[in-house]
Amino acid sequence: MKRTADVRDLEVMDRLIRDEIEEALGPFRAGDSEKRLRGRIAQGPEPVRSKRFLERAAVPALLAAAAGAVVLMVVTRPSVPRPVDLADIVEVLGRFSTLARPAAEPSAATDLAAGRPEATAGLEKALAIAAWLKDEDERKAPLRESLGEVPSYSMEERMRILFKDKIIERALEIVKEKSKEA
Amino acid sequence: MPTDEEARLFEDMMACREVIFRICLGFTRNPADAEDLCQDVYLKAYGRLAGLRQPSSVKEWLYRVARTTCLDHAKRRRVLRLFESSGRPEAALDPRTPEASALTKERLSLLKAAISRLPEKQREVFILREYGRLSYEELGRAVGAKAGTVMSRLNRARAAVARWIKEGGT
Repeated sequence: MKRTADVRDLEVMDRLIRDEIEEALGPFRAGDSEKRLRGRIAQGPEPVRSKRFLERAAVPALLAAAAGAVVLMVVTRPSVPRPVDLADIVEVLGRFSTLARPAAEPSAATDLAAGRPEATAGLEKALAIAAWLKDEDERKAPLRESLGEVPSYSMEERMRILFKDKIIERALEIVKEKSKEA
Repeated sequence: MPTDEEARLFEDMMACREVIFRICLGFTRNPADAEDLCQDVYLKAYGRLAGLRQPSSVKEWLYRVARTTCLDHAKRRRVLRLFESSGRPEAALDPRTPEASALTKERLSLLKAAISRLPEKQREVFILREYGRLSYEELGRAVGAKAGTVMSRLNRARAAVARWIKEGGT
């Protein structure tokens, strides 16, 4: 493709531009644009800086608002469902001493005295809490496994797991005995 | 209230009104719009006059303000131009004969089309030089490039525009 132009073509172009400028400059020179400009300036300069500040601040402010909304959503979102309230836990812990005793001990007599429905309700609550605690551990387990490492538990965590297993085991034994008695 | 120094600088700027108007005309291709844009340039420059670091180069600074103002205006107009049916350089018609007027009108349309087809960097150099009559040094400082670079851009732009006019926009 030809990248140069003939001198005559350039002259035609220059003449066109010159004519356009001259035609436009006539009214510009004759008009009162200078007077109007001085009048506008005499009224005071336009608040260029404040406008620019607002323009600059608009985008960061929108980004900050969006980030804040996301943070609020994350913070206010319920993290883990709580099927058992604190009163139930206290009640079950209180009953644990009873559950930990052998079945042949006077607890059976106490249960019989108190009535079977109450003991069954306590067992059901203990089972529910144990199941919830186990579900919670199972929810945590995949996160640890996803890291590609063997989960390592502290002594306290191991004791907690054993403690829960013992509760379930003991509760199942009691249920089994009760069903035999029935 | 402007200081004496600011008032003197403003009068220096006012001496360049025709240059600024021509630059605005090159960007807008319409005398009425060019006059409005020229006022915008001066109002913007006056508002920032206190922040001028080198009062000795107030004219070159004014050219840079004019360039950025015109480029901003062109960006705003870009969408609106899509809906305009034809060019508007009718103010520069030759009033001598109807034939000459029609020919000039046609060529001015070609000129407008040729300038609008230029790449942005070539277009701004072309307008600042051909309409504003800036020197190569002033041109380089206005667009932030070396004089050799702007000469190269200008030569390519001039050749492209002249060829477009000669070939009738084909």
